[in-house]
Amino acid sequence: MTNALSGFGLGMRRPHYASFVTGEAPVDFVEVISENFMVAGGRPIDTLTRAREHYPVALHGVSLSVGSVDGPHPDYLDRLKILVDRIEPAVVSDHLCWTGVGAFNSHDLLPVPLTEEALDTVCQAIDRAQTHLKRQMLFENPSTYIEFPGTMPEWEFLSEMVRRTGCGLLLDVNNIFVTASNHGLDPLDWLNGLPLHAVEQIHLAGHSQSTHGLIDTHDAMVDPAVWALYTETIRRTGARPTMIERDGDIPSLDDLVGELALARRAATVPA
Amino acid sequence: MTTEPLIDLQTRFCAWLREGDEDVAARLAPALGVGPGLTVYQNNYRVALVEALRETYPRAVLWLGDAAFEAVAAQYIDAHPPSHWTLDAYGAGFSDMLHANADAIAGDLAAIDRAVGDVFVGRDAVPVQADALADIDWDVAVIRLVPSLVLLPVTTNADALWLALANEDDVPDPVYDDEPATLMLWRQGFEPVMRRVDPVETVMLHRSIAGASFAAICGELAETGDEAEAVTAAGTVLGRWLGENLIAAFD
Repeated sequence: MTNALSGFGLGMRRPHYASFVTGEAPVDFVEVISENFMVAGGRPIDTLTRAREHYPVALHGVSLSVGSVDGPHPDYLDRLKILVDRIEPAVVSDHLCWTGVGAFNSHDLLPVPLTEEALDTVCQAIDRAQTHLKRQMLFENPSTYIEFPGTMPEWEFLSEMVRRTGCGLLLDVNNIFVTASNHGLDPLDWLNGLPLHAVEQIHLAGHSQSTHGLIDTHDAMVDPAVWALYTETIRRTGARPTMIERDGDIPSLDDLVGELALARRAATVPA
Repeated sequence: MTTEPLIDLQTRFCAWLREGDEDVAARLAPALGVGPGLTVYQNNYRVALVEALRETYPRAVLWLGDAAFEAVAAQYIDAHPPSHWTLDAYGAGFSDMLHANADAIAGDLAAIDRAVGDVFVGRDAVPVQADALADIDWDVAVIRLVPSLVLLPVTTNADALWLALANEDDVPDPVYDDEPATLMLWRQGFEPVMRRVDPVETVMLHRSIAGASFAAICGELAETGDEAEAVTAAGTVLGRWLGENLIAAFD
């Protein structure tokens, strides 16, 4: 089994485990939430090990918390390293976010203020994580619902983060759309301002409209406007491993594979 | 532009997330940030914790019903903000809160729910098979039990209720015991299993976990009765444990 991401994949979720452990799911790679498999033993480890026999795996974390003044938790890094050594994933990623501070963990992906101090904090944490894991990580641009007072736009923050740490980008096209919509920005500013050569993987997902703006809910099909932004992204980056995240109102695997076919089509950019 | 130190901003934001009182939250909110969705984060925070408790304690939810469960979940979240990096660790004291609320059935059900979850992802071990017994030096052998084993005290028939709820069978009437009983939960293959422990087993379990040899345990059992009967009883338990994949090794 090759150990590099390419083509089109899906987030491996519980209702579809049976199709992934047998290799029947027609996808090029799978992504899993790292924390779901950072356990001592039992069926979760067996499930991921068996899926790994058929697909390259991307480990996608939600708890590294690189934006917290506390930095990553040592136990978290140790447990992630054990999983990385066990699964030998093609990609290890997390988010540009923080989850808590002190003796409090919100278990949510909280927005990082776009300041020099936060950039220093994030870069130190990424350096620590990449050193601990002895490999490059990718970091995902977040969906945000507020803006803290800051000194630079998100694309500039991410660009500097990449330059200083050597990390890659996991570009979430839906997150660009959600954040831009919520803050009255142009999604193309991200594509114009980011170091697109650093984009190693792309996420697509659905969002929902609330009274508080767009929310990155992962419980619906990819929005037409996001498909258009994805096509423009691929036009600029060239082919990149792309996957759809679906975490709520999860449809059949056939339906998700059908939606993934839309991604293949959207990525076919006229010369 | 002058910006607030990161630690101050993060500390204040977390206080705002935790604060359930809307007036206090409103006082903390100004200058946290601008945008349409400050409340999105507080909603996400509480919804994620309620869902985590719901997923960890499915039989307690069935027993309590949604409304009662959500009420006690809200009480728990207010009293116990999460601190661990993994959401799986959240709610470790939930069964204690149910017990403190004088709901022994719900408390025992929740404790079983939690133990089943812990057993499900417990450390793997290859159980010893009966044919390995021939090489054991019984004068010194210490029984090492599988690492997924959890011992759980209960004061009700929650184990019977739990199984009925899990299997969607008719739920028996609640029974409240004067003396606590012990449940043992462990994993056979990938499946958690559970049963009650009898008095001889209770001694053998606790003494084995403490590192006592099988011979020493037999000696202790014999102090309260006939030696031959004690050895026979211990041997019977040992045979049962082997058949139930409970023994990881003889040290």
